[in-house]
Amino acid sequence: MLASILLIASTMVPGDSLPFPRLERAVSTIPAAVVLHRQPGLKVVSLRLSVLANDPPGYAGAGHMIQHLLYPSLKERAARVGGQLQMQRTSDAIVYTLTGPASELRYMAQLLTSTLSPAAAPVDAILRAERDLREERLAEWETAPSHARSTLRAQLFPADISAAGTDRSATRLTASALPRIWADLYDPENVSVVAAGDVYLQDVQEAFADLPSRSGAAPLPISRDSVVLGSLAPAQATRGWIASAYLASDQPPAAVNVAVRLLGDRLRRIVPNAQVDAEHWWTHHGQAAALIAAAPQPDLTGLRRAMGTVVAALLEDVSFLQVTDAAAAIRRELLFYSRTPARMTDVIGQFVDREGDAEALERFYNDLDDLDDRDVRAVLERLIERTPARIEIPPQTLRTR
Amino acid sequence: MRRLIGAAAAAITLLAADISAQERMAIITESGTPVVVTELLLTVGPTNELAADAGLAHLSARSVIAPIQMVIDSLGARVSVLPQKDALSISVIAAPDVWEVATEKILKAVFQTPPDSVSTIRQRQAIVGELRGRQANPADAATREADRHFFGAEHPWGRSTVGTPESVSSLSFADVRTFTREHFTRERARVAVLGPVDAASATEHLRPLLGAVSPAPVEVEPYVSALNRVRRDYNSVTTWVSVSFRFPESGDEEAIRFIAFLAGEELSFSPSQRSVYNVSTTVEPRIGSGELRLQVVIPPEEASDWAERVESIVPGLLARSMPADVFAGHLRRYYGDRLIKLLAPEDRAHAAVRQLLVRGETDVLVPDPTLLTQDRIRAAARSLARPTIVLLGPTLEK
Repeated sequence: MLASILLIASTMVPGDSLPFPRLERAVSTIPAAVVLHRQPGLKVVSLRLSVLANDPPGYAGAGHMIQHLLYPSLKERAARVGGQLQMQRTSDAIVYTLTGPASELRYMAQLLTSTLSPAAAPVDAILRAERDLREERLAEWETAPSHARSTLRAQLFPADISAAGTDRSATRLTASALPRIWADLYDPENVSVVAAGDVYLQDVQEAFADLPSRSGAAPLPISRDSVVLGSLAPAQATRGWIASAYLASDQPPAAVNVAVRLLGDRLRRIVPNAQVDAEHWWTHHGQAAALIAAAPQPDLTGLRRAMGTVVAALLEDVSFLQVTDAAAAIRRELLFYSRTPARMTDVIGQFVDREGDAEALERFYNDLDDLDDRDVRAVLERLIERTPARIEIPPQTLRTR
Repeated sequence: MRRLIGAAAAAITLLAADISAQERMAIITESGTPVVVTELLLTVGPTNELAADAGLAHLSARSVIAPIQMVIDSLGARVSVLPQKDALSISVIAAPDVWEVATEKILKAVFQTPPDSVSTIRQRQAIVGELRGRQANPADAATREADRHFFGAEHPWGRSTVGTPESVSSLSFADVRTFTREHFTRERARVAVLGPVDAASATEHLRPLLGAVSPAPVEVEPYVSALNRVRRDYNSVTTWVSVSFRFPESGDEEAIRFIAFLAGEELSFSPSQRSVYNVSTTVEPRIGSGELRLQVVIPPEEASDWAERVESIVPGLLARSMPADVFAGHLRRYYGDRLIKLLAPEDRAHAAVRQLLVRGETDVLVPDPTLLTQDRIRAAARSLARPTIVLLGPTLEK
């Protein structure tokens, strides 16, 4: 079964001062692509199983609802080996991450594999999951920063509907519809497994050798989504919030990442009283550079001006040293973040899901090392040419009688 | 300048006095770990402070680190200070290409560079602010009360390791300067380095920074724990029950950790035990003796029942034998739980340097669980002393 396994040990770029830890990858006859980061420091393993899938049109939120239905049982079964379970619905994939003793690899793999053939759910569980999803949808619009993010994302990537779905699609996620929806979105060819810990690649492959096959899907009655561009709830804000996001899908990710970091740093310097989040949004739907900032009422005019001019100002004087320093800092932060096995699988897995390529993380990591100010200038020039998506949320005031 | 050590030193017993051969460094090579963690453990703490100066060791550590914080940030490294009863930890997490520079900066700041007054005053203000912000926290109050009665009100470990807003406010720059000069010395240092490092070159790097000195004896004052149940009135909506058992230095640490795990499982919220708000268990091996502490948060009207319940857990373990499959099930969960607590490399470095301090050497951080038997668990339970029980919460009875 595993005869045609091709094991590739990645090599570092010569002269690379800060290599990313070695990854092992397998391209095999088993449906799932398996990537391993071997970390023999502690006898644990973190397994991240992801199914690349968009919810079928008209059934937004289905993938995440199935996760909610499975979660209580998975958590209880993970606890039998002292394991920790996390689930995530990203824009790219349905993801489960399980961390536990390396000696329990088989048990953990079986548990994760069981998520690929979800059992029919009773009505009470469906109702509970429906309520959870509704809460998640509302939470996305409740506070000012998440409200701003949801608005901007809806403008830039209208097809990237919230993982929690929409009120309209929720009515279609019934006990009888869910098995058909799952049959529509599951394909073993789209399963990836990322492992980090004290295990060997062949053992991981063997543990995930028996993925359920795709069942014949009956056509679903609905075939299009109603995209929601308006907000579901007014935002709560004690300060004024200004956010803008630029589409950057055609730009090299490493350069966008550094540009975003420099934009954030600059904005913080210009408006020291502001809280600034500079984010690089990157999914299979595309890339964007987002700036989300909050300031007290008296500083809002200054913040508005700074947000409007920060790209041009950075373009004017971005230097080689700034770029290389920022790139080095990002590389170090990536290492710092991925210091536990679960986070390591998260970082590697995001790249695998997004790019469909196990080498994507190393490529991004090495690209950071090769950047100079011209790459960042090119990104900034492209941003300036575009009209950003923008939202402003005024601070709430107390009404006096 | 204050009298710092004279009065306190009189009551101190020097334990593990003959430790000149003790290794002070543990280098743990982990090829796949993406960062390098260096944990410096200084055997300095409340034992070296007067009661009125509580928190001086902590303030001193933060004051020596503060001036180089920007340099550490610029390297993309992280540094943190953790005060404990018997020592002070300074932990540095850095990328493999800068760990040596970051560690060198920290060790030089601790051992060579005197603190500056501006950093000291800023850190003092920050700590006082943090302490004031936590004064109304019942979890902190429960820990303070449990410490006071387990170690004794007059014992240095019976005080808060970070001091009080009043004690920290009264500390001067001169106090900090004198304290660091006298106590932040290489003789008191143990270091663990963990990550993708070459053991020989890491040792070469650290040796000149730590100097060729023999480790100083560790100062531990014997303590007498309260054996009567202690009730303390506290204005909260819950009651905190703390039950602390002492175990000997030679105690079976792994078996005692398993006992803590079993106790945690037995006391946790469940459908038949809906009134438990929270359960925590800690096992702290120290030079001289260790401590197992169980803590439950419950409704005030159930305080006495729960105190008895928690106290009876250890005798219960001694009295009964578990069916083999039930024991195996517990062991399976325990092993995973134990590993999960060491997922972060900084937690493993901390565990390693604590082993170095208490045992004089580092060993496997999580031993093979199959070696734990019911007989071992019972023997460990027998080694636990009579517990100190502290109830903190509102008084309901008239």
